[in-house]
Amino acid sequence: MSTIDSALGDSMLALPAGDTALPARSLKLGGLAAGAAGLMLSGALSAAYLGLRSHAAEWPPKGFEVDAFLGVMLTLTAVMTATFAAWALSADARGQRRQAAAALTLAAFVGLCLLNGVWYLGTRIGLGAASSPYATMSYALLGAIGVLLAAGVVGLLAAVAKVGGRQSGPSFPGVVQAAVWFWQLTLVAWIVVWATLFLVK
Amino acid sequence: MADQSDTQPSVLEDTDHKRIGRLYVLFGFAFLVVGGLAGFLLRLGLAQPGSSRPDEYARSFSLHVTVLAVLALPAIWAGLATYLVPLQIGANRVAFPRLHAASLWVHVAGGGLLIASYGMEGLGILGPSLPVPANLTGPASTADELWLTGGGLVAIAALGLAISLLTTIVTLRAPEVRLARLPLFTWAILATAAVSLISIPVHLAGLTILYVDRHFGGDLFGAAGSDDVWRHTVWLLGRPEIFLLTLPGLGVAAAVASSHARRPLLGEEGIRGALAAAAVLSLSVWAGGSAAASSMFAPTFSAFAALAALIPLTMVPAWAGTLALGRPRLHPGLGFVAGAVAIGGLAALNVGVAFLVDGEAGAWSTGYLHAGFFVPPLLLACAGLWHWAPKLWGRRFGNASGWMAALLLTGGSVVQSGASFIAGYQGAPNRTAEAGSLVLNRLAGLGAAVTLLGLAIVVVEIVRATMSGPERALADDPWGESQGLEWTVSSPPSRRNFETVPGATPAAPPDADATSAATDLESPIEQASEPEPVGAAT
Repeated sequence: MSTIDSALGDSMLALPAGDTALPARSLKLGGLAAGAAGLMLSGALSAAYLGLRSHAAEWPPKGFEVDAFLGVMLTLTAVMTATFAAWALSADARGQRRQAAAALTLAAFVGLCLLNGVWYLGTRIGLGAASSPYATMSYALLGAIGVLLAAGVVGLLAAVAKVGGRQSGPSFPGVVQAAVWFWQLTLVAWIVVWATLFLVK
Repeated sequence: MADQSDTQPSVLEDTDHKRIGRLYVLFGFAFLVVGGLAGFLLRLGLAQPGSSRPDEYARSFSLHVTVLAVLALPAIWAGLATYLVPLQIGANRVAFPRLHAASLWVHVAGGGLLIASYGMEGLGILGPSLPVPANLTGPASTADELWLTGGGLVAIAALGLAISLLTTIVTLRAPEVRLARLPLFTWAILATAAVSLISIPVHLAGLTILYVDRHFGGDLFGAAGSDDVWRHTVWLLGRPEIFLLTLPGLGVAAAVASSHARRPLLGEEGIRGALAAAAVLSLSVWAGGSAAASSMFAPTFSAFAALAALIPLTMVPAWAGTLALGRPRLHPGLGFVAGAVAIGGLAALNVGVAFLVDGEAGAWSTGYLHAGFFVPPLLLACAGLWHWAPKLWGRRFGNASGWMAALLLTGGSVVQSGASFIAGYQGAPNRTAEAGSLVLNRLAGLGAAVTLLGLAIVVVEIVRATMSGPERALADDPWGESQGLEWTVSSPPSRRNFETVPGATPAAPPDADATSAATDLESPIEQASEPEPVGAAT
């Protein structure tokens, strides 16, 4: 028996569902609303970054080089995890529980890689957070997207547990959609951060 | 009668929206008492010149504004919304009860940290309504860290609440409760939640920047352009909030007027449209501040802001007309609504006067803050409490105490705000320990004391209702001819709210089992997405 087979046995992996089932659209709307809020957060931080940049005499500080390669690699990682998440959504819609669990697990794993990459990026900047407004804003952007990505990975893992605990599909609609929609919007938020830090600079 | 068979979880574990709602109201009034007392101490200081140092005054001023605007009034509305929205839309729960409960406790914890930060030495941040001092350098003090953590927690709690309320209203409505025919209070909450979803993350971004800067001891707020950053991230929440704190109150006033006039509200559709328009326009007010004053868009923003402010005033004739055409019952709720109209009218009048004489000074804005921002929402929230107390606590609040509280809160606020307006016309400054005429300051202090007395009556009623438990044999609708699904269930409602889905078609379908399945709340809310029958529950 494969690992996924054993994980998807009859054992209850997830917390019990609430008193009464929620309609699928409640979970989907909740995931979308939370994702949209995250997108607004990164958008506002990006706007603040651009606002300060427009007033600064030198931005980024003299001698500082932005590592564009790392940014591109992280964005490609984001595209990969987005693809796995879309696969999970499609599998769940067709009632293919094992495929959905596998895709969600892969999306969460690659998401963790992305989170690790953001952390690494933070350590590679090499500027003290207090050294300049540029550094402060860069750390604020990376910190915020890091928190959002961590929340997204937790959501994906919770969805894996729900799928494994037989709380997905037609009987519990919306669980996978909510996690995936939040994750996809979080990845859009990453694109905003990436564009701000690496394209506009 | 309430369902006694259900075991009640402990207060921290309970996810029943009714208990969460009552707790929100209780904590909201607890914060209101703290903020009110801080304001009263400010007034005492102004009435005795030289009794408080400028830095102490600035700190108390910030505490007063922050607690009222960020902790107290939002919590009271959150409580009423959490309790009433599911009842008004025919749902037996909120969409995300755990998120809802977490929002309550995070709000309380964040509020506690915020208040604690004002009691510590070294608080450099002066509050959300004021600019970040440009001379803040070096690592943040413990007080600053506490203030920022508390502010962040409160913002996250508000975001969670907005998501849960928005999802509840959009997706958990009973079949007959159409979105376009929502009760006005729930409609106003929907508009408020939608705007909050846009504006709170922006404020959270401001707090994040400030936290990173202060935690690591940066000097971002001394840099060029930093003023605009803080101003915009605060304003996108703070400016709409001026309207959003009043918006649910307009829904309350409509319900109170209709219920106690014993007739349907005049112009309900128009009011629904006006509430939505006010919510959307409130976002435009963000850009109407000094940063945009010199831009080519300034006239547009000013027009939007004026429209957003005028919309609430257009509802007064609808309430008055409903009362004139109905058979009004003298309920204290009407007294609170009348008080809110009087105070709001005073604010509007002074905006006009200030525009004509072009002479408002700092102290004028204190009067405007109270008359236009704090007091009308408080009075309207009290109207809601007196109106829906049978649902919230299973008891009617006292008539005499209600009228007395309405009179004291209104009278005290008129005196306090009026004195501030006059002081402003005389050129008195604001936010300083030594401000203007002693007579006017003492008059404003007297007004503050009277207002606090009115607030004490409200608090006593809430505590009495909480301690006493439900009245015996209280009718589902003690007011007789109220409209709305909340009046079709017991007072207070059972833990499950509705035993059958409200609005489920009573006509017998071909299969009796199917009828039972369609109306059983065990499989309930799925039906909200089904085609809706003709007619509305309200």
